[in-house]
Amino acid sequence: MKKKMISILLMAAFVCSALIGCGNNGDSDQSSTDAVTNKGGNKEYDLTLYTVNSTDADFGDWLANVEGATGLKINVIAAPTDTDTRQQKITTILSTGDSSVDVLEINDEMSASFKNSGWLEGLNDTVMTEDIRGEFPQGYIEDMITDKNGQIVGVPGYSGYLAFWVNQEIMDEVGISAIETKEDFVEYMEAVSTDGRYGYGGSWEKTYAFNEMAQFVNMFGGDYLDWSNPANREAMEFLHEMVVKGYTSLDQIADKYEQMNSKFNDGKYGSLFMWGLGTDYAKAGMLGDDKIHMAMVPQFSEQKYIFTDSWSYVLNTASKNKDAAVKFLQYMASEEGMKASYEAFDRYPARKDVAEKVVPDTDPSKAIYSRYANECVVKGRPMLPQTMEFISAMGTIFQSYIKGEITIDDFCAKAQEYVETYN
Amino acid sequence: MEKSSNRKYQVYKCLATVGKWILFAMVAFVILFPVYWIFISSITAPGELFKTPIDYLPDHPTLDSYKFLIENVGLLAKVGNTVIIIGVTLFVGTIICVMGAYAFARFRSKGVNLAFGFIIATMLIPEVVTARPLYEFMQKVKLFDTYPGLIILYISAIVPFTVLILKNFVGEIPVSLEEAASIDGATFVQRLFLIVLPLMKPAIATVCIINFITCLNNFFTPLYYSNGIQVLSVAIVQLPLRDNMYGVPWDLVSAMGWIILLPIILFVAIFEKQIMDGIMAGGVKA
Amino acid sequence: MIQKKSLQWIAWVLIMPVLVLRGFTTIYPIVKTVLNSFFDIRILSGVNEFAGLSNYINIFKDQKVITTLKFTAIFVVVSMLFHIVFGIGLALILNMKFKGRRFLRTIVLIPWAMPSVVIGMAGKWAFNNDYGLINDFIRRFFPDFQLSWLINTGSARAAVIALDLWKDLPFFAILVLSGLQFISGDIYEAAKVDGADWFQSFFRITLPLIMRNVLTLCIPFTLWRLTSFDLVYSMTSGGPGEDTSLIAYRITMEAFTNLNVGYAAALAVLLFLVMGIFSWVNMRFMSRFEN
Repeated sequence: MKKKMISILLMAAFVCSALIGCGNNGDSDQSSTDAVTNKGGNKEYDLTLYTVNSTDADFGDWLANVEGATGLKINVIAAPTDTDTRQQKITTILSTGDSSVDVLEINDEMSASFKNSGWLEGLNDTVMTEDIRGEFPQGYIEDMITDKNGQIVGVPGYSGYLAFWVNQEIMDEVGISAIETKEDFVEYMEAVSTDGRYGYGGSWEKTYAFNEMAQFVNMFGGDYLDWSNPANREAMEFLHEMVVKGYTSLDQIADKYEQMNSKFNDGKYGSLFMWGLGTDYAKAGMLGDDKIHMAMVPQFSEQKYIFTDSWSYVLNTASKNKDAAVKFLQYMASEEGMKASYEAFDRYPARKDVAEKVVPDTDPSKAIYSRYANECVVKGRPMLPQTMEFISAMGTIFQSYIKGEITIDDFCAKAQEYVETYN
Repeated sequence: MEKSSNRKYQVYKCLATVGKWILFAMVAFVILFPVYWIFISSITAPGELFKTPIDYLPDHPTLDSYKFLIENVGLLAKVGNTVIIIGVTLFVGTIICVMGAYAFARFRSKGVNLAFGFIIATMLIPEVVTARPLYEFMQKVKLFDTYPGLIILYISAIVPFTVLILKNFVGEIPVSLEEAASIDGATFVQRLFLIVLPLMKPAIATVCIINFITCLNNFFTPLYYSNGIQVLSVAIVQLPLRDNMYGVPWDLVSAMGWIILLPIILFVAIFEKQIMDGIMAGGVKA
Repeated sequence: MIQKKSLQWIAWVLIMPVLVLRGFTTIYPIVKTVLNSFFDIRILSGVNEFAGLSNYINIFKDQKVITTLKFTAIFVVVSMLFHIVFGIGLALILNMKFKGRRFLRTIVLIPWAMPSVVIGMAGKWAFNNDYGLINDFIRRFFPDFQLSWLINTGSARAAVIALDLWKDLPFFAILVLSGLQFISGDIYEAAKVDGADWFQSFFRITLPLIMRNVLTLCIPFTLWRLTSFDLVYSMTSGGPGEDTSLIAYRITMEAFTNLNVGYAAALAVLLFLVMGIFSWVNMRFMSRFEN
């Protein structure tokens, strides 16, 4: 009886799938003429782009510019902007060999995971040719988007720094004019941290804490992927001490960037590390030389260190429109393309030569960004192939360590174990 | 003697009324207070969003977030897609579920029971778990990112709960009614349409409403099984990032939440009587 | 029951559409998931080999999963207890005869209808020490109150459960309410005549009569709790540490973010078994209750 039932079920499922399959062919024509349809895979487009910017107010202008310059008709699909959701969706598309998307925009976490997976097309001969390659930040290109065969797999869409931000009002109040060394930093912490206010603020939520840990390890001259390095331990103990001494708050282990920036705007933090050009502060009327602004990274060890990040345009190996995709990518790597992104999305051009030309001197970020590029050791963030798993595993033990649930020895041992597991 | 008991009764009644209103106020407060807070987030400029203590009457209320959504998120196309998908889902889904539920309640054989067991058992499978194989499957059968594909998945998602509820309801309708009609010479089809269906109306209305809300909030299915066909629920995670590329814009998210919620509130407010009648008539007596 | 054998074909005609549709979307994924659970598939490392039962064995060695299972058990049990107690309470309130009833019945559906992504994000803000609604409210009475809910295990768990209750309890109450309607007023009148007070009539009449209904409702609600991950997903990401991670959330992360497909499948099969056992026990319990 049971066997019979199952066979009936299976047969029914097959018949149904066949029927629906046919039915679907029939009305796909109908649906493409449907006014509300904006689905992908249709012949009328040369290329499908998966992007996080599609809901930006200036996206329409940008798209018109790109389509005009390349002569391509681009079908745009909005990528989820929520980090985890986006990562899951893009991973699924690429790992299942889905050809309905040609070009995708991915962040460093994804680049680190995907670059050696064979899902991304190498671009050395077509887009990232030798004449322009040198203009991109070298450390970044090597750390982040070069695969094991030496192929560059992405076109950086912009150049960003994990900049050091300070609140000038607070600096004036405590009478400190510059934070150049570790001693200055500690002095600033001490001066600023009084009831309800902290010298330093961070976002230590499980998946965000990684940036902070890596930044401090970096500043102490350590190596995030080698936890036998004494500088790593020193950096972690420094962070722990900051909490103990009240220089920074334990509350922030629940905070993401939204919460952190809100507190920074309210004058609850004296300084922090943050990506971007400060839109959150501008919106609150807090951006400016006399209020919240970027500053040079303090030097904790022999050199100054800074992280750079980007989002890269990558080409899906399963794509069936590679010629069009290459054309699009070439434009994104060109001066005009970078200019368009700078104007529409405030994205700082990834190429040095382009930034020099395109960004006007009135842009307050230009001066400090060139100082970062010239005075600091610029690195991509340390990531492993199993990036997200590594990031959240590290975040978990970091929170335990900061809350005093495990010792620094446990922390370093576990961290080293994770480095090996997720590589 | 009588007077005093009367007075006592009135005092008691008065106290009861006061008690009822206190309970009412508490419940309404717990429900509405957070909802109101989410609402004021949606009409506050992003720079003024968070204050301590909370400002329950925003200084500069603004509809910018809504304006932004209407201008940049392609709401119209999304509403259109949502209406098409949910409309077809509810229509087809309800018909087949009523048919199935009737059969499950009225016919008993090993095979039928097994089929019912199968449907209920599939309810036990978390959708996240089977998402990946299903994603590959949908691509293989060429239903990925198509309207029929999405509708099939939407219907499939509401089937177990709907069948379970409706089957129990049909079980409550006395078989004798049908037997009587049968003796009077009514055919099977006549019995189904003239006797059973009219009695099931409130139950059907109830599951339709529940399914309407469930479908409107179904976030997982459209997110994973389509790229191009966009619906309202997914728009919540497609709002522009802050310039740090990680921060999520709470002002826009809360506004988007209200855009999704608004039709539901209107719907419930207008049809409150029908909905409650439906539920009260035992629509969801499980 | 009353139908003749010869009419069985009608039954199958009626059942076929739901059965085929549901089968179409579930059979392949289920079979595939069970198969995957015996393989070590890690897409990001390019591993795909037969692994026998090792995925299942690893589950019990995985500290993350053990913490997750603990919280899942706490979450389901505590949340369901509150659902039952407050759900019945709220249903009684909604069943009272007074002028505000209609309004109340309309608004109780709002939390349930609100998209969970919005509620999760709102929850993250609401339980924030500086900007949160909850602490702001408490501070109106106790100005010195300070608590960052989401950084400590206990309070973070309480916050997650509270949010879950806020969202789903009204829906549960509405469904209980429908059961209450079946109790005719005559029974209460009769009880009153016999001198029963409110509590007596509640425990002697109301409760026994709606208990079957409540227990039936517990099945889908418990299963939904076991498979729910969206609140945690947008509110705490399972933090602090892994303390508020739910099993379905863990599976989502393993399957989609970490791409440990085989391991995720093994977790899923395990969850399926747990849910199956739960449903079976619940049904047995109910049938005993009826007798």
